[in-house]
Amino acid sequence: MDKLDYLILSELFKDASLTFVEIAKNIGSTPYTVRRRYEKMKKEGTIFKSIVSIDLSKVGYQGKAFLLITLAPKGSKIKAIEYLKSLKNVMVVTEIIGMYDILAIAPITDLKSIQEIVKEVKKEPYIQRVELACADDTSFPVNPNLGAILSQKSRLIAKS
Amino acid sequence: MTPIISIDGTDDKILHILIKDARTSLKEMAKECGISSVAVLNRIKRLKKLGVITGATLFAPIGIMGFQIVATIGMETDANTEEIVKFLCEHTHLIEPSTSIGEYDLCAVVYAENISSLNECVEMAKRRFGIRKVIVNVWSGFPYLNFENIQLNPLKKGI
Repeated sequence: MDKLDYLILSELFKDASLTFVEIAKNIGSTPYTVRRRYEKMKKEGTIFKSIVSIDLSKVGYQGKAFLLITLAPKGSKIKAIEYLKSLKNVMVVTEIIGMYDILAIAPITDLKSIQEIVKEVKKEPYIQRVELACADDTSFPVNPNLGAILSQKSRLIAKS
Repeated sequence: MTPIISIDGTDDKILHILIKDARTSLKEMAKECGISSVAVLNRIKRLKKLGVITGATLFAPIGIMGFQIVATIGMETDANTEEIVKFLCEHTHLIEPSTSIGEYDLCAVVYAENISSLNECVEMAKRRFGIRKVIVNVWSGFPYLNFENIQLNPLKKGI
């Protein structure tokens, strides 16, 4: 990774749907070079996904539920994660270290949808307890704040 | 409340293709949806204009950016949560800060360079706002991202 790679990343973190021509213009390079670098980074795994950003409030969601899950003693973490992954609308499942074992994030529309998701999660026998925190954030896939932070950071690395 | 925009079958298909890869070419999308490239472009333009599509997000390993830790923090506090969110946004790498209902008053996902910088950010918030309790859960292993799983017309019944 060199300066140019980080500059390209910095632009893409801002908006991953920019064309190679636009990126080249912003960083003072040629579209051909940008494309070559992009493809190299994709192949090496530096970039693994570009996802369209959606404002979920526009299609009817009101927020996100953070489900903090505690497993039953001797419960299989792998099986519980597999189960959570299969649930409708669950966007992120991750193991965590701390008071809980697993975190799952799902968008919610109303009280009923919160009830439903908690009910579904509780069906898995390995899951002992579900705690809930509902946030009013409706950005998808993640808060645009992340892109701004990473873009800035990337630019700093390129300059150093 | 913001008016709800109805997403038809083709819009849904286009959005799901873009969730899979936001850089899919118009030609490919047209082929998959069975409509012309111009029609696809017009639909995307409409969704952008309505504010459904707000851009695109790049996912890259956070390690190359110098971050080693992703954590979820929950806080219990009597202070104004909006002020805390604002403060944390300015001083930490907080990505999904929001006030919340439920177990905690405030809940956020935070990026940190290492354990000590995470600790520093938590302490800073604690001291400044008199937060009673902070719960930090560090993400371990590789998070399973399943964004394609989302339903884009959640209010439509019977699908």
